[in-house]
Amino acid sequence: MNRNDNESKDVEDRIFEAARSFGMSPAERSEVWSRIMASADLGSHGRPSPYAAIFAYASGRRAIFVPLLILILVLGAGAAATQAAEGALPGDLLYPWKLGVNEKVADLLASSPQAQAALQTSQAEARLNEIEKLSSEGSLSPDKTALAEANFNAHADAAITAIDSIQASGNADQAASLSNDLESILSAHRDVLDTIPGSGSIARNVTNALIAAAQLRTSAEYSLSTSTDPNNVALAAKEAEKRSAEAVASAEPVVSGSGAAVQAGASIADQLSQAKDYLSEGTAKLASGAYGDAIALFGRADRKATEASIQVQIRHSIGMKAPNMIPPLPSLESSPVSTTTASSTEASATSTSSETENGSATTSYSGFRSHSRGDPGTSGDPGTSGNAGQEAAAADAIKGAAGPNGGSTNAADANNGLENSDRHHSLPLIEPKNHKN
Amino acid sequence: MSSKQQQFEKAYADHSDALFRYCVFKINDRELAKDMLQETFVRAWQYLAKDDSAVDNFKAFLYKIMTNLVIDEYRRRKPIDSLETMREDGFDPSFDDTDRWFDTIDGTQAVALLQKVPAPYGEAVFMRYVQELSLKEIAGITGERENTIAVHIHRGLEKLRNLFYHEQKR
Repeated sequence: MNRNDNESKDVEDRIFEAARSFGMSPAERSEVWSRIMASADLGSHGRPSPYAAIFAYASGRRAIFVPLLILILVLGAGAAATQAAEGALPGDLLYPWKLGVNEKVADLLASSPQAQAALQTSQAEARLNEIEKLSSEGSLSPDKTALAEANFNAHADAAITAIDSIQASGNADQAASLSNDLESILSAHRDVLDTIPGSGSIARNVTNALIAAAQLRTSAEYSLSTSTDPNNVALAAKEAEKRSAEAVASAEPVVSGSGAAVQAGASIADQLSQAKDYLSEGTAKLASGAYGDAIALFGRADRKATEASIQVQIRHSIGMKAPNMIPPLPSLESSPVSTTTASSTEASATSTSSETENGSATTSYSGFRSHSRGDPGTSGDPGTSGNAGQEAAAADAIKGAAGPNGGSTNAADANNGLENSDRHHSLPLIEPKNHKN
Repeated sequence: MSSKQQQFEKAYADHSDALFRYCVFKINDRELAKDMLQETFVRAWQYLAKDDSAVDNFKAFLYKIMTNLVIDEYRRRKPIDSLETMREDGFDPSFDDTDRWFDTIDGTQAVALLQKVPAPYGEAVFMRYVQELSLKEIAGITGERENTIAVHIHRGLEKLRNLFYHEQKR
């Protein structure tokens, strides 16, 4: 050949280098990934895999079959421990097993982002249930709270991350529904925790998670209502109506059923009737074509109804009576006075020592504050951002209050502000801008 | 998120492009290659979910699955089709000057050029220099002995040089 070896080597290198640049575009890469994630729940021919059939996590919050499957998977002596660990509370011998085995297995088998979001939500809720149960037994302590708290933060964080990625992959409808669930659960528990002494620090963590969930939900609803295809928006609104009607319908018997009437108390019954108001307002908006407003209203109806229902269930399961009736604290009735004093000291010790914790917890969620994906608070679009922007702004106020210097009192006050803004649903809802294409 | 899921996601981030490129090199169809990439990872996940032991060499494992899918695809096609390269799809560079051509050579053209080197030499060169696999790794994928692969690479480079001088003179 006429060329020398160095030159041909150089040319070869360029060929190889160019060939290495051949690949998928980022869009293609993530599109394939989404399909992998979707398919991973199914068999490769679209048939549901055995795991998917058992883990119906898509819209459910209750892990009906998990304990059974865990039993099957964890063989031998482990099976007995796994079964026994299901009801373990912080401080129990088997509590680490519950977190480390039972829940880890469930985590392994929840492969889609949707399944993950639902699972993480449910596991975060489990921590709150445990604390409430401990309190009703009179055995809540800062050590035990601490055991549950870090785990709660991890799961709440993971739930929010999963929902965020569902939103990012374009599935605003699912993101709205999942964040609605998370928000309702957190809000219901936070109300209950507020009545429990010694739970100040975890209540603050719940508030932080609640703020992040509320922002996610707001942004998902905004995405839904500003879809460029008007048919999509109408469809999304109808879906939202269906969901919120179901939520109200299933909350009804829980709240006003015969046993529950005693438990419910005035404020929970109020919540349910508010939910019904939102629902009928939403239906009216839907009929007049104001889909964005309808979606927001249906979301509120859903959350109010779900919260009311969860609150009744929580109180029933831990033997508490509803707010605005003074709950008989087990510790007062059954323990000597010194215990009460001790627990109030513990409570203040808890709040001091966890303030730095709270600071970092706030930071971990502040990442979501800066997401500008259709954030109604920052958008200049006078479309549906009117009321949503208000809620986001109120949520910002809560965050400020819940910072290192804020105590649970401030957070509760600020949140009442948010709640009240919810009630003033007669505020003018700005008609959504007509998105032409 | 479990570490298994993290391992899986990382594997996708690390290897999806290389696997895609390998697949296109072999079957010459982008869209189908994406489907096969998807199928590769879905099967890998299903395997992971059942088998509790972590897969030691995830990259090799993925290549194995992809190679099997490629073989299936070859069997589906008539023999003549597998001789097509991207050259027939409209790639038709004109060169006055080698340097300029190779300055502007893009990924598609480069892969097309390598496809023109007769198998198994072209494949050996591709695996070694584009996919940057070691002789051992290539042996694991193709089932050939390392010495054989080394010879293939040597012949492949020769043929490649012939090719691009031929292209230049044209």
